[in-house]
Amino acid sequence: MGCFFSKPFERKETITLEEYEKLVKVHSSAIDNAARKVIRKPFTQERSGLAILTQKKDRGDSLSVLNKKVHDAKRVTLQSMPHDPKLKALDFQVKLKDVNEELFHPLKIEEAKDVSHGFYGGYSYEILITHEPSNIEISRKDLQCLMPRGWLNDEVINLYLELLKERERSEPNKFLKCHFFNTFFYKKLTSGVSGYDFRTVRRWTMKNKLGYTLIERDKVFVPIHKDMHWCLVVINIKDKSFQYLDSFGCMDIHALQILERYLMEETQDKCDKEIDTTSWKKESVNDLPLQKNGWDCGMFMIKYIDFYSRGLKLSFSQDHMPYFRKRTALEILRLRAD
Amino acid sequence: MSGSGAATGEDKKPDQGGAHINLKVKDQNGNEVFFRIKRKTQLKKLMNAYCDRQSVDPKSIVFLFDGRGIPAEKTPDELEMEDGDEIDAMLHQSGGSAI
Repeated sequence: MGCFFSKPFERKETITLEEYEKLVKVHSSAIDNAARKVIRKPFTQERSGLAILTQKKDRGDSLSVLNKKVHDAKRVTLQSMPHDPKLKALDFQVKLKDVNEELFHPLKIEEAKDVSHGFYGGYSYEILITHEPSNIEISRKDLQCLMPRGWLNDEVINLYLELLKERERSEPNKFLKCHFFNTFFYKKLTSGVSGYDFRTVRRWTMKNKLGYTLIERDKVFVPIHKDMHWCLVVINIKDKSFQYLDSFGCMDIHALQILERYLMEETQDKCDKEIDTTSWKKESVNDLPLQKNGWDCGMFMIKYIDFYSRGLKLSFSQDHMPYFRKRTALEILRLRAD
Repeated sequence: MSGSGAATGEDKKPDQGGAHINLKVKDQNGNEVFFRIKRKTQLKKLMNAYCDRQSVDPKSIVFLFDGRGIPAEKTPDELEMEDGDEIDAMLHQSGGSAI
């Protein structure tokens, strides 16, 4: 066996059909470089064992062997293609370019003008946009929280989350199946004397209104407001994990435990099913993009949600925040998240 | 916790399916205020009454019904509210930094 791999043709100029079949068998079971060498060799003009093969057995059989040879050669070629690191890198770069263009496309001149008019074009309390389904109104003052150094408020965040919902609905194949809780959910769940009351939010997720139950989703996003700071919990239903994302890099295991308890009660209530999440991971995110100032946590939070709902890694940094602020303002004014 | 009821005396006989409905407004601290309004009255009347009573700026509060914002001009009937339903009065939120 060993010598078939290393020096299959040195002892003989030609090989028999049995030997060839043996070789093919060996190749099928072990796809490594040595095996590929074995298969490629019969195709070289001077060493082809084809003539001998056709002599030895009848035509039908040898044709099938020939077909198998061609098939194997094709398979080997196809298999070797994606293994070519250069091709793979090129393919990756093309894909990355497409994604990057969508994630970081610069604002056009007229878009930048619209954003600028939204920020500066009139008095503060003018209502710029109303999102009917959620009944969220955005005044100029609200939008202005997206200006540099502004602290994001609940209206802007909740409207953006509504737009992400609509984006997923309009292109279900492009985005993960997510549920986006608004910024009041966690506050409501944890308000009250005991610090946890499922009944207060039981009706927020009725199946007849949502069209799904939480446990059927890929990801559930829970924004967390901590006095002056925005954080996020992501429940990865498919990957069975709870993640805490804080753009200052802190961890709140208590929040994860609260939401673990919520998920169990919610599933029991809506699906009449017990799930045990005790084995689910409760973790922070490695290489989380972090804020380097005192005002961007809300922007980081909504971009964590945006990227994760696309199934992407969080490939952005503090440097992107000024751009994300303008882009989010535009998306809110247009009532459409791209 | 529930001692601040405004119309608790009227809870004796809720007229199910009648012209009125009993609603409860609950704030983030769990304090409850009870209201009895006509089913066809716009809810802004209730919201304004709540803010007056609690002496809070209406701009600082968001009213939610089952997690969704309540349009001021909608009525309990239009939102399919039932007797005894709860409205949440949540404070607006803002954040940028943990420090």
